[in-house]
Amino acid sequence: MVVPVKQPVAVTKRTITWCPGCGNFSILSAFIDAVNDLGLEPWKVVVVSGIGCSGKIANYTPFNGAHVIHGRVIPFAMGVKLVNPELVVVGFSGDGDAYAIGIEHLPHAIRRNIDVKLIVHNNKVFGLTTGQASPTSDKGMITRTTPWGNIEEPINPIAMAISLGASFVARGFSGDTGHLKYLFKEALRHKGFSLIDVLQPCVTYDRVHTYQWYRERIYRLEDAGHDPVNFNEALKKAYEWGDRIPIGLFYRVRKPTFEEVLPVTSEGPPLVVRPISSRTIRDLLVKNHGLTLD
Amino acid sequence: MERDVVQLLVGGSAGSGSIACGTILARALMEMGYYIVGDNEYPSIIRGGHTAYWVRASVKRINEVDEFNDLVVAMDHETFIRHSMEFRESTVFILDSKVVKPPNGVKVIDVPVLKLLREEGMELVVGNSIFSGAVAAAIGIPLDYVHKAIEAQFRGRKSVIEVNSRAAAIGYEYLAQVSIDYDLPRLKPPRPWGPRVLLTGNEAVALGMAKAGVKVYASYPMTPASTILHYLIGISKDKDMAVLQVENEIAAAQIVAGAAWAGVRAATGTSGGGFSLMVETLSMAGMMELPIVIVLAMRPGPSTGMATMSAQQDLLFAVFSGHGEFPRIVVAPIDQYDAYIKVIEAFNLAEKYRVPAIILEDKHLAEGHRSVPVLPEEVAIDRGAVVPYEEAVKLVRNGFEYKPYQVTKTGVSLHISPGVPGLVVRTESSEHDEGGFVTIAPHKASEMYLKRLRKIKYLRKEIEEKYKPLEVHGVKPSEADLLIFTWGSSLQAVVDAMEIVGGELSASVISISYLWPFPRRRFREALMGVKDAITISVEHNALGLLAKLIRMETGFRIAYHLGKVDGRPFRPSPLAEKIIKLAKAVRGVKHGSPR
Ligand SMILES: Cc1ncc(C[n+]2csc(CCOP(=O)(O)OP(=O)(O)O)c2C)c(N)n1
Ligand code: SF4
Ligand SMILES: [Mg+2]
Repeated sequence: MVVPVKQPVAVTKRTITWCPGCGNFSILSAFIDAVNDLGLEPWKVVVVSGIGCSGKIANYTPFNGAHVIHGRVIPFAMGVKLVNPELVVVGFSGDGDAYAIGIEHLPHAIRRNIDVKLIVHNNKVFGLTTGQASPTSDKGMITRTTPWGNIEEPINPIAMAISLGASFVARGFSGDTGHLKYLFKEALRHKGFSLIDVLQPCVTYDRVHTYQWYRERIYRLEDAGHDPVNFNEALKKAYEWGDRIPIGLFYRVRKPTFEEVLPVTSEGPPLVVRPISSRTIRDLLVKNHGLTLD
Repeated sequence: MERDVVQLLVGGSAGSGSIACGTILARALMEMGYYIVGDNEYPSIIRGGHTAYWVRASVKRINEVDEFNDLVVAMDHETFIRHSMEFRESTVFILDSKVVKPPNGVKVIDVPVLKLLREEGMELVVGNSIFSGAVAAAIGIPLDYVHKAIEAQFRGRKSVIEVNSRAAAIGYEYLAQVSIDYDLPRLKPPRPWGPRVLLTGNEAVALGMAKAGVKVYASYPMTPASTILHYLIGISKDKDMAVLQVENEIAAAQIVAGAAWAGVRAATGTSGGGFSLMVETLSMAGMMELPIVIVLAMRPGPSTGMATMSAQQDLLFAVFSGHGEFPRIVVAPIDQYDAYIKVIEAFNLAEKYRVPAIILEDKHLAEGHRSVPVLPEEVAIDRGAVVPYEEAVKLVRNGFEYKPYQVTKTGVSLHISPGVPGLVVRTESSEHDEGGFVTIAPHKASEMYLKRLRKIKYLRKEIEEKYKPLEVHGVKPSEADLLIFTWGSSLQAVVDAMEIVGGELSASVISISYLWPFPRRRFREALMGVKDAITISVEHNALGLLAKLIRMETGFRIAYHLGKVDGRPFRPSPLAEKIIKLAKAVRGVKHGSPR
């Protein structure tokens, strides 16, 4: 029997439909706190979320929100950022959303270094679709679709992002909200594509990777004197998994962002506030099509 | 003997410059004042294979390239094999007999291009311009016009212009001094004609986007849509337009959706394969009510089909793609000029009704040439339900209560993009309430679903009353023995075919450009009082997709279908022959009666 629990209500007055104890709660509160701490105005922040338990967050954050389709957080967010670089655009994906159906966008967002932050609720399963395996499910892990143990290797999002040249790569843990808030603030301050992979226990479909399991293994890179400027060291840390699991800022480098380099967005007001720029076609016909007017 | 119309064909292997040679001749003839239609064909191969360019030039308006060529530049032997059905006894061939051996008995003008190049110390690549000059001399194009066309073709590339102009002059002079003992196809003097430009459909589409004020164009290259991307990249640098090549069509469509939500006009372009990847976003745009514009430049399918050929196979795909029911606009321009107009109209309608729009081209229109009047500068730009940024700021400051999905009589809600001080806006791909929050409450869900669909009625009405959703050519339908239905670029061949059919049958052609929402009333009005006419749909597909759509939307049954699936567009003469044959075989058969 399931005892009905009183469900919490978000600041947006929506009932929060996550399971009690779900790691998503602390991602939500840490993010709202990070935005508030930085004094960002709510109307300047855009949350773009995908589909999954994780994706529901757009309905719970008191910011502009676009709850898009499964896997398409990055390109939608990119469209928003291009049009209005003054907005702080933050994507929220699940591990399925970002690393399965939407993986094709990740390397390209990294290559472009578009100033979009991607927060991945990495719970190692497909939560919303009732607990199937995900690209981050450990080898041997029992899920709804791997009843005899997962036979595939998990991907390593941190190592992948660092090696692809991402300008900000971090790992957080839902059980350490204060540290999570710190990472979110660092990411919000950073200019450039940022990946924050959050170890987020799914209390309903993953009985192995519990808060306890993580607590026994986790340590903060910040406490271990890790220097996030050091690429090789960051990559080395990215491969650490097992008895000891590092969380924190792995790597950060400032390089030009896509919208800083693209001529049309590199200067002037955001595209959205520029007047509709209807071109004089005659000029183009003369210039490009040899039109001569007497 | 001088004529009203002359048709040229330039054939060569890919990389030989046959398309450039043909385009230069087309441009020169246009500059002289002739009406031009140009078509090209090339394989999906960068070197080798066979490419062809047809130019039809006329003293009066013509609509389509036809089957027979009066003059042929044969740069490769394939020209004789591939186009054997396009020659008449009178056809004259210009070629270098050291390169190509013509079949016996054909009329040949031998131009020793290789020898001339060698003598002048010129590179092989400009051989095509020697041919341009030779053709000009043969049919009476003054050399000045060829020079001007070369300048327009290679605009800005000084040394390229210089060497090609020199090559053209050599070809011109050579031909002028050889004696030719048969009739050359020469045109009558042109009639005075206002200034014209030679445009492809894709150039016209890109110009329409520039006029419409598109700020984001994201795309993944795919023939025959890529040249929109190329053109826009070329004009974007100093202007307010972000033009991007991205990782795939899914990303392209999503970026466009994000940009549209963030408040600007945004578009993408692709062909059927890429459109398949965009379908999830199309449905999302339906739910989020985003006015994204997608150019679907059709090529034959299924799958990769014939990458560089033409077809009209995706009409029903454009109309019905996407899960769930939602309003959309599907519009198919009939020619290059119309493409410019329809792109601008599509943006106005999409933003007024907050619905996605699909512009259906085919390769033949997208990459074919036509001499068109100077595109109009005075066009309406109407952002409809989009609240301009400054206005939104004021509204919010004055306490305006904004609901992004407000339920209204027409179903259209005002759109304010994110970034307005003091306002937080939302959009949702799941069913949502007026505020943009997820809902599954039965009443709310029904209300919102129907709100969106309500737009169809108003959109259709507007298209029927303020736009030109269909055109009738020829006699009034009520007086016609023959009713032909068509859409998109196929109209051009049909109109010329009807000219050929001439007095044999009194025919009426109905061409529909706004295909969705289907202009039912205008269609019924057009067919008012129709007699027992023979009804045929002429479409570049196998199954008669327009005919099916008409049947579904109006109940009107079109009895016959003339289709084509070889990737090559209709040509008027063979089409006329087929129409006459069909009409003779069925004369007297009633339309609409059960059979
Ligand atoms: C195109 C598409 N395929 C499948 C689904 C069904 N679906 C919804 S959420 C989801 C996976 C969710 O997993 P994840 O992204 O890890 O999010 P979580 O629920 O774990 O937060 C799937 C497969 C969908 N909505 N859209
Ligand atoms: S299923 Fe798992 S991820 Fe989803 S809400 Fe419940 S605990 Fe959280
Ligand atoms: Mg997950």
